[in-house]
This record gives sequence, C-alpha cells and structure tokens, in this order.
Amino acid sequence: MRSLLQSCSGFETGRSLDGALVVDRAGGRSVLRRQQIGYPLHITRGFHLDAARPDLLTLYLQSASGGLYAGDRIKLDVRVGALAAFHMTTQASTVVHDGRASGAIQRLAVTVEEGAFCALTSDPYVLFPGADLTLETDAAVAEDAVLCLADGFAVHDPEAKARPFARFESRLSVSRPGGRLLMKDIGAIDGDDMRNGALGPMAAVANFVLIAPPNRLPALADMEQAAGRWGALAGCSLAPNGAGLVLRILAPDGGVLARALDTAFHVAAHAALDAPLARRRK
Amino acid sequence: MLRVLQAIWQADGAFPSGAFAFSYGIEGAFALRRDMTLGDFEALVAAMLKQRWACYDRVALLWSYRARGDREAIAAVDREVEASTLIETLRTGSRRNGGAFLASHARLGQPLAIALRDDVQAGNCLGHIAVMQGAVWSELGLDEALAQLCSGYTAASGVITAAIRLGAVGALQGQGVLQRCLPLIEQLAAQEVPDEVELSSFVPFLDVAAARHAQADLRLFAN
Repeated sequence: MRSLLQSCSGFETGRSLDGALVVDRAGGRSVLRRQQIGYPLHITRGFHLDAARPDLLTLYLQSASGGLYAGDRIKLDVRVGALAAFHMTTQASTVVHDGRASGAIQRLAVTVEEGAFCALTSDPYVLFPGADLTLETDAAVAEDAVLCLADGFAVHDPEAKARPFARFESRLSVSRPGGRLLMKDIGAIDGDDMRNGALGPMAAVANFVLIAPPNRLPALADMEQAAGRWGALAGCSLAPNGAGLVLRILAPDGGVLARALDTAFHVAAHAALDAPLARRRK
Repeated sequence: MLRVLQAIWQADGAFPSGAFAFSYGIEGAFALRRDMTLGDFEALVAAMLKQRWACYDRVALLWSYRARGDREAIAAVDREVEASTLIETLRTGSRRNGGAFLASHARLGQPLAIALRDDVQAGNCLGHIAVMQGAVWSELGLDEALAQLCSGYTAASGVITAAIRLGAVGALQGQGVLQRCLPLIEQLAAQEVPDEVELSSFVPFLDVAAARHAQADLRLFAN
C-alpha cells in the first residue's frame, strides 16, 4: 500500500500578489485613496506622526507569512499624487527563506508626482541559507518631487553553520515621467562570493537613494556621519544626471545596518522636507 | 599575429592612456582598511574583476565594440554607463581616462578617435573609458576576445600598479597578484555577453572607498 504524500511534501508554488497603493493630498493631509494589499502582505492603518509635517502619511508594511519564500512573486504599485507626502516602512526585518531554485522576487513600481514626497524604506532583509532574492524597483519621479529609497540585506544561519545564501540581486531604475533615464543601479552577488572582498571586512550592506532637486539634498558628509554613528561604514556621492544622491552602507551586522539606515533616512528627510521627522516606532 | 601585437601595444602601461592618474577606488580602500593584508588585497582585486569588470566594464566595452563605429550607438552606450556609474569620482575618472585615451589615439591619427574626441568636446558623447576602448579597439582590428583580454588586463594592472605606487604592496608582490589574476581574466572573458544583458556591478566596499576618497584632504590619485 502506498501512502499519500503529506501536504507539507507538496511542491512549493509560492505566493503571488499584485498590490497597489495610491496616496493623494486632500483636505490638507495625505490620504490613502486606494489600497489593494493581500496575503502575504499586510499594512497598518495610516499614521500622521510628524508635528512638523502633519500632512505626511506613514504606513507600516508587514509580512503576514513570516517572510519571503521560494516562488514568491510580490508586485506593488505605489503612486503618490501631486503635493502629497508619504512614508512606507517596515516594522522589522523580513526573513528570506531558502529559494529552492525558484527564489523570491519583489517588484516595486513607483510614481511620484509634482511636488510630492515619497519614502519607501525597508529594514534590511535577512537572508537565510539558500535564500535567493531579487528586488526590482522602477520609479518615475517628477522634476520637483522627492523619492527616498532604502533597502539592503544581512545574512543569518539559524544553525550557526555559516551556510551561504544563494543569491541577492537588486535592480533599480529611476526616470523622469517622460522617460528620461536618471540613474540605474543593478547589482548581484552569490552567497559564496559574499566574503571575497566585495564587502571588505563587513557582512551587511544597504543602498540609500535620495532623488531630489539639488537645493533639497543634505551635505554628503552629514549622510556619511549619520550612518557611521552606529559603527557602519558609509560613502555618499552625488548621483548621475543631477538625480540626487546615493549612499552605500556597509555594516558588521543587520542591527547596525538598520540603525544606520534609520539615521540616514532622518537626515535625508529633514533636508528634503526642511523639517525634522519623528522617530518611527518599531 | 598583428592583432595580438596591437593588443599588447594597447595593454602596455607605456601607452599614454591616462590610467596612471586613477586608482579605481583602491587608494580609498587602503585608507579605510589600513590592516589590509596581501590576501585581502588579492581578494579585493578578484572581486573587482568578477563583480565589476566582467559584468560592467566588459559589457560596455563589447556594446561599443559591436557598434562598429556607429557614433550614435556609441553615444547611447556612453549615456547608459553615465547613468549606471553612481559614484561621482568613478564617473568623472572614467570620463577623464577616456578623454586621455581618445586624445592619444587622435594624435596618432585614428579617424574614429578624432571623431569621438570632437563628439566629447561638442557634448554629444561623454567619453567613458570602457566605451571609448571598445569603439577604438574595434577600429584597430582587435577581435572581441583580444579586446576583452586587453581590457581585463589593463583593469587589473591599473589597480595593482596603483597599490604599488601607494606603497601598500611591494612591486614583486603586486606582480604575483597580477599573475594569479590572469586565469580569472581568461575565465571571465570567455563568458558570453548576449546583447540583452545589462550593466551590473556589486563591489560596495570599493564604492564606499571611492565616495569617501573624494572628500579626503590628501590624495595621490584622482579616484
């Protein structure tokens, strides 16, 4: 007699989500005009946390499933309307599980209209052994708008055997609404190559990008010092085509990296909005 | 055999390509990591070849090479390189290096180099080094394989020569590193580059070093 496969032995197919968030300015505040978010993601209600910018809407994006798994295909379309101000962040790091040859892909399509502010800042992804994660972001940013993006990763083996992740790939493209390319940042690394010198002596890495007019950028040294305050090593540069600035951050672990990203976000947002933002509780 | 001789001529450090002024971020890397061992340095050079040269400079070189002298197509590759080189010192260094490379070939009478130099001066083209090398080496008659080997060798030798001139690595130690890089360059150059592939780079340590180096009080190299 042959026993049936247990349900947990079935093929992993992953989860698929085609979500959308639309933020508009209405009645002096930024409001969520449309939300289409389903499993495996969840968003909190909106918060207006900032006394200096009470119009700014903040949302926390959460994983309802314990992270990203093999075969996950998550797509999120974010549109921030003219003059609206929006910050979406995560409540904690997202664990990325073994990719089992199909990996996880997270796609973000972002539109930031005239005079708007949009910040999408994730805590670092935590790559477990075998994790295979691709992050794809395509953004269209109006000439006088601001877009702030942050993501990165740290590694962790729950069995402390230093087993590597499979692969991490990041693809970012930023254009003007008419299609003129401002900057493109594509990079990938296999887990086996993690310690080959690409990260120097560090074990976690993040990218922080601020697309903004020149008069709304912080000093490069301020960004480096903000990230370095926690023991991270950061280098800040003007981005190509007058797009804004880019900050590369290296850190010994995910905790330091998360604090460095958070501090860098506050320095960047202060300069871009000409107002200090409140701490985002996590 | 003439193609091979042309490649040796172009890879020779004596050719006035302007590369002597650039450290490709390595000066900043030594400033950040004063305890860098020879093994660490060798790993960094290998990472640079694998994670940057093979999937970025080599791709730009081949796109430009395959343009076969079409200056509109070469300029489009140049714009793509500009948009994809995020660190300003690496961006300006690549353009200055490419400008010096073009100037040398133009003074030697190479027609495409003269036209590209004029395009750069007119603002129609930016002059990134990998793009200019691909364009000119195609005209010189190097085949794709030789152009890649030439590019990989000059990238590795440029970084290693910079480390030697900084006094961070001994002259013979540097030659040992370069010798051990040769099989890696051969292996990477053998990888196919389909037309649809995109420019990709992931050496954040060198990016951080190059970005911080721009604000250093005292520096020997332009980047």
